Amino acid sequence: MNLANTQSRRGPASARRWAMVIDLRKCFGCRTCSVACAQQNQTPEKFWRKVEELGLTQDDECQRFFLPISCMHCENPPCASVCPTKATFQRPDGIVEIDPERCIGCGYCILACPYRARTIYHRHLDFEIDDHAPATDREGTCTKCNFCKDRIDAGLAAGLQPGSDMEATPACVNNCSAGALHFGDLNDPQSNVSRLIRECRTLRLNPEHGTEPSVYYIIP
Amino acid sequence: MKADSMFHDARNIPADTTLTTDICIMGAGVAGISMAKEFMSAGFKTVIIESGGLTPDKETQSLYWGENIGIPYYPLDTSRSRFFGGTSHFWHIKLPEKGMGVRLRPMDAIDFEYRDWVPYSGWPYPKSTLIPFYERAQQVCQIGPFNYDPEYWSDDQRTPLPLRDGRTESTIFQFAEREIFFKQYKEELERSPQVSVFLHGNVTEIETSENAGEVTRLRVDCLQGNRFYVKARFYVMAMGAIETARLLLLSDRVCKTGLGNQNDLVGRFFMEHPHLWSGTFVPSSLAVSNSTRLYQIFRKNGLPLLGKMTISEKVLREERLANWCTSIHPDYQLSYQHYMLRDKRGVAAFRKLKSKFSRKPESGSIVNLLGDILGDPASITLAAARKIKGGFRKEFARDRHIAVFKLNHMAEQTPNPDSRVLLADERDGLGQRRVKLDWRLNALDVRTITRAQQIVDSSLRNSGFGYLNIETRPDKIPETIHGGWHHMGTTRMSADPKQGVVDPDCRIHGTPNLYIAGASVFPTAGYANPVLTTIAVTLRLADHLKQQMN
Repeated sequence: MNLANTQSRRGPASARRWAMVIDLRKCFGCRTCSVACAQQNQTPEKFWRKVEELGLTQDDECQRFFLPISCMHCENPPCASVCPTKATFQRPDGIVEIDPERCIGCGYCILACPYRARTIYHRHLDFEIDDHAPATDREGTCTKCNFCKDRIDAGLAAGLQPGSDMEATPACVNNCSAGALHFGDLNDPQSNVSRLIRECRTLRLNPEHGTEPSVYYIIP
Repeated sequence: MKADSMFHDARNIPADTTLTTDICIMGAGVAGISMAKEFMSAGFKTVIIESGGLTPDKETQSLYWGENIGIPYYPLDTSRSRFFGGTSHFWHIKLPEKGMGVRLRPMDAIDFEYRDWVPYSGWPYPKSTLIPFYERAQQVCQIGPFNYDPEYWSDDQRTPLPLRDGRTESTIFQFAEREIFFKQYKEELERSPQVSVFLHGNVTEIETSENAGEVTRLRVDCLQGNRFYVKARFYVMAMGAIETARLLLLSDRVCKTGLGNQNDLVGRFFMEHPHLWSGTFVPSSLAVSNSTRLYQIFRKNGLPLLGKMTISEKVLREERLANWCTSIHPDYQLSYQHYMLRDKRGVAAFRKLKSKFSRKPESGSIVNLLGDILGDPASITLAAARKIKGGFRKEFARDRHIAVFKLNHMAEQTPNPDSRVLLADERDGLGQRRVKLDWRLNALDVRTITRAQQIVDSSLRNSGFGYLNIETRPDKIPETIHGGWHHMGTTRMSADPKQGVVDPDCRIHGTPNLYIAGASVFPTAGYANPVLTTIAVTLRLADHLKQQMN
């Protein structure tokens, strides 16, 4: 029933479906994306976006891999189905969003998310950057990556193309100087993300959960 | 790469080709790019050989891998970025409002001096020699005027704490934006007909004449297999302090101990800036707490700035200390504990007594605790009132409550020949021996961190501004000490070939057409981030090379 309710809030199918492609061959663990995320969204670092180190390859080459993790904006988001207040919902463009007015900070979604991508926000965690204090409506509520939806929405309104125009693209993607992060419309076969998924070996995390994430990883 | 770009893929160069140029720079990091920019309109040809591409790849990055055998340090393959732009890709300190960047400041005058309490200290020239190059380095980094006087950057909102005894001072850092080198300067180099950048080429040997008196050519290998050579009038190593030492040690065909290593100095004297989060600053009043805005990152005239605390030069001499500074960072939890008077004798005793009835009782005799409680009724009463009033978490703001600050130390590491880069037996993807890093600190480095805090604590108390809680010991390396990705000192500069790998012009002693640009030439390193000094030294070398070419 929860799932049905969630889907009812999705509204009509969107012409766009936003997705991120992360090239693990290029990510060298600089964590700039995590800093950019924190700066853009006024959160502490490693809050919405973190970069896990996966260690070295077990051969003489000693290649080290990293795994940037954030909300996967799943097609079937388990966080939404367990939310008792329906604060978590999915937009028509696939972005999984949280309504802070509805969120009561119960934490069910945190347990339900297989990707550990959600965190209850406490303002004190942000004290070091209090000159740029975030909106107080987040206090005590669950927060997570929203693909910088404000940038996307404002960019689209201005006629820009998310994934191509920096002003309309998530901050993590803009600041990745390794060129490892890509963003775009999965429904557009000509988009950069569609092309990368078509041409490269990709995977999505934890397919066994059936969540159908919108974040794809290019693997060697 | 653009069709008319001067960037080339070294993997496409036919095997055994010899490229000929006037100057060959090894490495396209901050030093290599700064130097190449100097030659864009100098009237002679310059080639940069860069190991990586315009974006990173695993095979190339793994060439950095090595073993840490000293004080725990970052995995070596994660402490540098091996592609165009080099370490500037790691510059990501958040700047106010927008952008990311790197802290910059020149070293202090005392850092250039011979100090009799610091073995191996002293540059072959004073700071004044570098001043004109520091001023140019400011322009390269696109930052503000060459002025690091805290008073210059003060205004109504931000002033240095007026500490009365003059033993503790304030110090200023400017910030450069992170994208200058790998974006803006990349575009400039792409347009320059005088500079050619060859990506994906790894210099694997510096070949010399029979007596090593001259470099004859560089051997360049690509991971995909082709090998070619570069012949130049002058060669500049700009590969970072670990890789520069490594390549010299690997180039042992003529000098069996490695090129430039006739006095067993290459790789020794590896220095970092020991970093440490430890201790707190507790201001005495709300007014003092609110007088610390100079010490948070702020913008003035658009330029990001940060104040830190340091020790006066006079006191460094008197106390025979290394250089040191600390930044201060407001911490919510510590501020809350202070607000709730948990650092007061009575409240602390009350909490301990309360814990006696819990599963994890804290230490202390009940009689003594009761004595402390009865001896400090005022703090207990006030804490109780604040507890009842509540609301701290919602209303907390720095301008209404005393903020307690965590200290983030950045200290000088003094020269130590046993702190060094060595070759390992293991080989990388190019068949080259990997490195081992034996990072070591000495007694002065460790003592400085604690003694400097004691001096600041004394200054604060004498001025009535509060105090420090000091958590370090003068005789023990703190367990959480770490580096700042600042690699320095492995090919140190000295006029005396027995004391240094390069001469004051950054030329390798005994090999007159081979130079080094980068922080590996620093004989001492102060506490300032090395970027500005690296660029200043590089610009000085560029001027020298222009003279040589002419």
